[in-house]
Amino acid sequence: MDEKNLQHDEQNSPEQEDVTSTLGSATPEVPTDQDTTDQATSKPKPGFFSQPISRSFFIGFALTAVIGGFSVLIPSPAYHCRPRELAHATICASNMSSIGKSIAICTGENKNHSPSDFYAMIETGPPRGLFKCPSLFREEKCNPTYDSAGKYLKDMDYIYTLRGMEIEKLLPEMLMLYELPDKHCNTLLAGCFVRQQCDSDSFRKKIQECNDFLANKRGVQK
Amino acid sequence: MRFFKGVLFGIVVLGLIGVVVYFCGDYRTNRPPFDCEYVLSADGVQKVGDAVAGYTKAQFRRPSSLGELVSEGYLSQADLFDASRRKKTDPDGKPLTPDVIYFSALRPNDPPDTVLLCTVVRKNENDKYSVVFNDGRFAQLTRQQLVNALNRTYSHICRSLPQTAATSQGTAPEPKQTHS
Repeated sequence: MDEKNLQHDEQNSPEQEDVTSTLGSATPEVPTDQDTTDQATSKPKPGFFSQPISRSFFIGFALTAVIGGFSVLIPSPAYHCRPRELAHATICASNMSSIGKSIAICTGENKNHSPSDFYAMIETGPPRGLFKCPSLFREEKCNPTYDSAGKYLKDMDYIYTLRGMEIEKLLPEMLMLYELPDKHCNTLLAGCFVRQQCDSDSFRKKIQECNDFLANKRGVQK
Repeated sequence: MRFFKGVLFGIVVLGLIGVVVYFCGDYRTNRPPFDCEYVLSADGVQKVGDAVAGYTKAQFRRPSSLGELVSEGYLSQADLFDASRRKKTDPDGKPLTPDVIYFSALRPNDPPDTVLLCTVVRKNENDKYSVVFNDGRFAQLTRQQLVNALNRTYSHICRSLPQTAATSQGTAPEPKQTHS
């Protein structure tokens, strides 16, 4: 066996040896006697994974993992934003519910007709902060303000549909107030019921029903 | 020395975990509230707007619904829905509401900045809403712009309704200065 290896080494030229050394493990190397003696005497080459995991290395890694883990995972969006967004959806539903109650109060004072605009009920009813959805990641935050004439509340998050309607003639399922779906979708119906998380098809259907109702109210086009 | 190597290795591993967690969290928090995969494209909304304009020019009135455009041959049923939507009827066999909202109460002589057609859901966070105004203009609006335009539209429609409090309440109380 050794004789064969020696013959094999003799047949290899120095250039071929260089090539095999550069290729590394691409070509199988047959260990020679000289190699085996070198491996026995020399220490392993220094490298990151060649050394066994020492105790100090493990302590350093563990300390970094514990301290860094808390600092990375605790403020991450996956752990915090979802519950916070759920809380914001609940606050938004509460806002809508308050607006619904204010509409009901104004309706009672106005011969069963819903207020024609929000400005009509802000005087006695909800503060304008209620007209903002507190949802996260909104690309543009609204700022409910009055227009230059001071009569019309603009720039709010909710869309008020059935203005000045006789409430008793409306179906309780008619869409009264809604917001464009972002992270959540709340809708206030004429029965002052806040519905959360409707699916997109039924949401569109509700809006279209409301539009068709208004079209019927307006009458035949001339 | 090995201690610092351990610290370095820990930082690298935590950095990789942090990147994965960040993007997963970003995906979870930025996804839409419900299945918003069916939205009529901007080209589709423009096509419906052109059909409404063509119908109005020929019939001297607006169609009472988008289904009327289909029955009159101005559009096909598929033009009202997202291209990826396969079923266009609900489980009861009734036709689904089109993927674009139509304000049939508007008249051609109403204000030009009222909304005639619009999309109310979007597929991605940064998408804009496609809108056709009453004068036939097509625009892509942000959320807040669309909300303001829709409020303007509902306000105008309700004011123009016969015998409603919206018309009779023309003189509403002036808001206090503290609100503005």
